[in-house]
Amino acid sequence: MSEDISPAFLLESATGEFAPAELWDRIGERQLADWEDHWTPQLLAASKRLRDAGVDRSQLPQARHWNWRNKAASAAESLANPSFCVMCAGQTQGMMILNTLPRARGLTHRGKHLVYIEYLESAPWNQRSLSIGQHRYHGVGALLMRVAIEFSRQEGFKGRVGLHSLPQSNGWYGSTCGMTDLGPDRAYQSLRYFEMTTEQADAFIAKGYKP
Amino acid sequence: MKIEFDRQWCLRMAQLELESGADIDAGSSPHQTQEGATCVRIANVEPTADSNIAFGRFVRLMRRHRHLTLEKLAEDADVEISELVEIEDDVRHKPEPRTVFQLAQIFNVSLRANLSALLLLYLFTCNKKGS
Repeated sequence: MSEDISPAFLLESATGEFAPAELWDRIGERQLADWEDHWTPQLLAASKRLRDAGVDRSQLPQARHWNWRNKAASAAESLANPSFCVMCAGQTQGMMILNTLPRARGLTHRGKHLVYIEYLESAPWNQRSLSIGQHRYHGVGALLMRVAIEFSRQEGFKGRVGLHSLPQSNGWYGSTCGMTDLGPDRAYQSLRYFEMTTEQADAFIAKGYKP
Repeated sequence: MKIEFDRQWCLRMAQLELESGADIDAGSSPHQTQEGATCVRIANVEPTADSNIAFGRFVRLMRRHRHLTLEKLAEDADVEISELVEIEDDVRHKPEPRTVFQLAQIFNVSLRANLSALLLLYLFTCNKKGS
């Protein structure tokens, strides 16, 4: 199966320059190999460092338990679960699986279709909370959020997006992405549930064109 | 799906991401739930609308997969287009058994396979609600 590849750009921390990147509209074997060979060892090593430093287990990166091979295999069997990834410098920088089945919860658009971000993770070297040397690339989250919005529009869901944010990401989704925080969800380990309305999706994209 | 990313947009948004000081990860954590998407999906919809949403989404996905318009599917399946619209968009709508059967024929789904299970589940749910 072939992928659609869209040219994109990330910001490289070390140089402060653009780095050419690509958005792929499928998670394939190449990305899963990156996850197994590069992401997982770094994620586990970082988790151990944090544990050794006395960080409480509940504060460790929750995505360390995620098995992307299983998730990608499950998504590939479903029309409702498209997957995407960001590639840069020959490596996978972020992966995302969407779900088009859930409905919106927000009062203004309750019950309407939306695109739910089932899983979204950036490579360990792009995660600030892991403190793996210098943060390598910025912009993976913005690209993947843009993809979720565009996919929502393509499906006729008018840009509506929903997700459960991991604790270390609440600021990104609430403040920067401008999503509505619907509070902790007890059915999801009390992760905060965020939703983006059509207007908020437009505003998110417009942010990138403001000086 | 192809998307045109403007270079300036990417730079500006990357800077905003940097300034936010936060990570970007999202999703459930399987060490506290069960691994796998099914429980996630079911937990994220209204419990009373589960079967309606499942059926509506099934019809919508199958229709889109076959590149059929609502009008064409209604014509091919010999069902009212208004009912198709309600099946896909209204979680409170209860489809007629004949409609489910007609759609099963069109989508070429064996009655011994998926759709029959879905139909039985649906009829059971309707019956339970009605009793």
